Amino acid sequence: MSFLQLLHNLDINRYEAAAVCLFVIGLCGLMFNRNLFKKIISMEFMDAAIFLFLTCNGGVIGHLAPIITDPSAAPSIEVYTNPLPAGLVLTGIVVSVSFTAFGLALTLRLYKKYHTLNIDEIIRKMKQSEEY
Amino acid sequence: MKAPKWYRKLEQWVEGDARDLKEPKAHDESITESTRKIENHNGPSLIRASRSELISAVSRISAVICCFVLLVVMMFTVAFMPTTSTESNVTMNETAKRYIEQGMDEVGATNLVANIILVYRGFDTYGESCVLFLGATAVIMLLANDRKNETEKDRAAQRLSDKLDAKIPNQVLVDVTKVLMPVLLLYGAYILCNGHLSPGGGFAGGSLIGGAMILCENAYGVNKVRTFFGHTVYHAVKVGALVFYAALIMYTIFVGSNGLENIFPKGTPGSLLSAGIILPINIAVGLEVACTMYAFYTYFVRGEL
Amino acid sequence: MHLYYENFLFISIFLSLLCGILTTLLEDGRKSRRVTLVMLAVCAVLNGIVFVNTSIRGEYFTYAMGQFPAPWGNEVRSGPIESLLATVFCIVIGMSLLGGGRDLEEDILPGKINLYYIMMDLLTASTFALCYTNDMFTGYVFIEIMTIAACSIVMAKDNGQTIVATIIYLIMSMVGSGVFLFGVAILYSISGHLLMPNIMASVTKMFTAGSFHYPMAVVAGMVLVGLAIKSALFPFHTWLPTAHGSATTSSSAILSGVVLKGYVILLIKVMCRVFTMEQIRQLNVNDILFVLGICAMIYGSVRAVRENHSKKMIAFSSVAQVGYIYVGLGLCSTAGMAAALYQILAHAVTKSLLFISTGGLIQTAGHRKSLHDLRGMARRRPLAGIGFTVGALSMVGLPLLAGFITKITLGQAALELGIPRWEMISCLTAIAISSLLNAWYFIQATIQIWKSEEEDVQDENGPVAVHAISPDRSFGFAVVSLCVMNVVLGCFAEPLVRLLQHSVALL
Repeated sequence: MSFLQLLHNLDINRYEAAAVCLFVIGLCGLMFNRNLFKKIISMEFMDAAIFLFLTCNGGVIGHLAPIITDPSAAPSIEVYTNPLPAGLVLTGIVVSVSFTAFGLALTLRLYKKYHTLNIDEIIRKMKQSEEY
Repeated sequence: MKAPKWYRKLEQWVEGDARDLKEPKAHDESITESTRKIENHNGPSLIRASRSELISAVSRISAVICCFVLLVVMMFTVAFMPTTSTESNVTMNETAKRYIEQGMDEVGATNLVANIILVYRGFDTYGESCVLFLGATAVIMLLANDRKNETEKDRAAQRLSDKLDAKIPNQVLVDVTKVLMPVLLLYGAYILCNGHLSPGGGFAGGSLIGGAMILCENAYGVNKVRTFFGHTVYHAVKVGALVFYAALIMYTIFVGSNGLENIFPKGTPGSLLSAGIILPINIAVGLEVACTMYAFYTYFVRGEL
Repeated sequence: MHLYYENFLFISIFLSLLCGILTTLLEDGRKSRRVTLVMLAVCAVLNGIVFVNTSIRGEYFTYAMGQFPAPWGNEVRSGPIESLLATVFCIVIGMSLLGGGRDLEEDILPGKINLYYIMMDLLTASTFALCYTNDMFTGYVFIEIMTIAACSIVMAKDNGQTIVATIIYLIMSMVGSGVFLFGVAILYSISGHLLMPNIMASVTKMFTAGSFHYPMAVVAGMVLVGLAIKSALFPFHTWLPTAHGSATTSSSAILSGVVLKGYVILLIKVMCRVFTMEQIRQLNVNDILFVLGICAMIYGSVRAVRENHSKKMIAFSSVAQVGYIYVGLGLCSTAGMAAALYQILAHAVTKSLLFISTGGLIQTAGHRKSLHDLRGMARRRPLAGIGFTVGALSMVGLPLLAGFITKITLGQAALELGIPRWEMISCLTAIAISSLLNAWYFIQATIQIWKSEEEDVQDENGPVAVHAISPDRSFGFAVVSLCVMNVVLGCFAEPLVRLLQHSVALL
């Protein structure tokens, strides 16, 4: 494949490219932020990127959302978009909500105990206060 | 020798938040003190500190490089991928064809996404409700008041704030709640019950109802909410909804897999009472989600229901 | 109509889920413990029946999870390997709960102990689902259930150390599942399917046509890396020692014995059922796994030698043992796969035994955890000492015990490559080095715990206070039965290894 062709493909798949960028931003944030709260926000970034990617997988420009408005007419694959990615995204969102709640609860407990959100500081205080 | 400017900028960027830690601010007594204590404790801390700093800098720089490599690799992947969003989308295959063209006749809901998540792939969605249940349980495990995470001081402060809230109600909030509460509940119930006909369903409707309850708690105080939604009701509703859901799913799996006949009627597509098990499942999921949302809020705020 | 035992798959999954949900209503810790144990026993029996039937017939079966057949609905699938793994995991979870029962009562507040058992029930359910799933997305959902449950059982002890360990574990798991899900999403957009056999069909088609080679390699890499992060392969192992070293006894045993393996099973499925071994070899992904596995074997052992904290030492040994599994997978042959599967079983049994008996010894020493403080404790609590010794010797690779067979089968699998390639040489060298290091630290620890008590006087902290431990019957039962399982796995390994080798083709 020539380079121009690749660029053309990238242009057609531009939503996926945006999703990939978001994903890497989230991953960077998750690795570099020392603040637990920011880490959790970065995690949300990553999840959102994946949902964007999945959503545009199922889409075809010009097709309708997969909700049948007129039940008497026979539905056709030429008219509607693929409903499966929407279902997957729904599942993913609920999973990410529970993970966020769990992470925030842990952060809250750590803040109550060590009075800081910085993970390095927390680890240092932990090693100081508890017998190893 | 001074490092070039770009290098310092890169280092600054790579270090990110860690920089604040290395140079403790003057007014932050606790951090300075703890750092000093560590230094006294470890003896020759200078060598150790510089070594660990070096390691962390190396690992950070390698992580930056990894991220860039990942970005480039993923971009190439996207460029080499089959194109989506055009007619040649590979996901529009026989699976999607059956979901779209026969979903309404086979399952009975005009919302094709509801067909998929609750009937075709019902097992996945049950797992997902269990993730939500587990999330709530984990939050309770962490934040429910006990002698490990709550001191007498916390309790006194909580009591004081509750008393103040009861004495001086927030009039704006109360008035707004009076208007919004019925609307929110009605809209939530509408979304819940129309999940098989229009966008929405259990998860969306449930979070609306949960939000309405959070609003109510804020406006009228926790004791008002406890009169109709206390510890017992919470457990009863949540467990009841999940068990009911599990029973429906188990029934469909057993019947469907063994080739027996399903007794749930499909009804006419498009009417409210149609689509077999989707409506009851949506209601059960909605109740569970509402309970979980409210539990998240109230355990974060006060550590009990 | 299905045969009667084919229904047991979904019954055991839903039974454990329902037990977890209903345990919410039980405020009493003792009752929820009993419910969980009974559930585990029932599930072990059900899965055992499935194993016996499938291994006699020598074939697998699929079971539609819903009204609609496979490409549209969900599906589970079981052959001899899956049901055997599910049965053994079930037993290991039960034994870990029995063996760590007293520590659980001490470490967890009475009001929250039923929540711990909820986590345990859902962990069991997700283990079953990961063993049996035939669908990538179902795999993802149950990975998440397993992650939350595993994080929660780490933090159940609820002191600063465990909460810090939990948040590190949670963040690493998040990265892992994010990368895995992205891999699944790309795979879906290339192949248009989520069900494993269908993905395989379209992947094979693309391989023969020679198209999309690059995205396919990226997908394989992402899925494998995501699962490797979760199962603590070498460079991603950083969360493991703190989490496994600081959690309560049962949690450590289950985390090391079962949770790490759950992800590996999904990985094996991806390698055998989504791609074929031939394709994985063409994409060169197996070499990465192989090299990282070798590194893990040596690095984990070296760190364990230097560790003085008894539970962290065992946790680092887990890092090394996970390396053995990945070396087996990296060989990418039937024999290598069988060796990896055998190692999964052997390590599940051995590591839980080690953690439980260490927990017993630590109890006797009055909750002091360094190896130094455990000196002479085996004489005060011989059963725990025997358990530790058997586990340690198995890890070292004494014949007649499970660990020995692992090393032998892995070595044979490496030799089967034929021509002496670099894989063979490095694999054999790594096994030798790792066994030597294992012998070093495990035999040292064993001698320490059996030392006579007179030497305690020379301890600069003064003698360790004697803690009278009342006899604990469930602990004894757990240790004895895990020892017996270890010996059985070691002595009657041949038919088992042969069964595994035959059944890899059924994967």
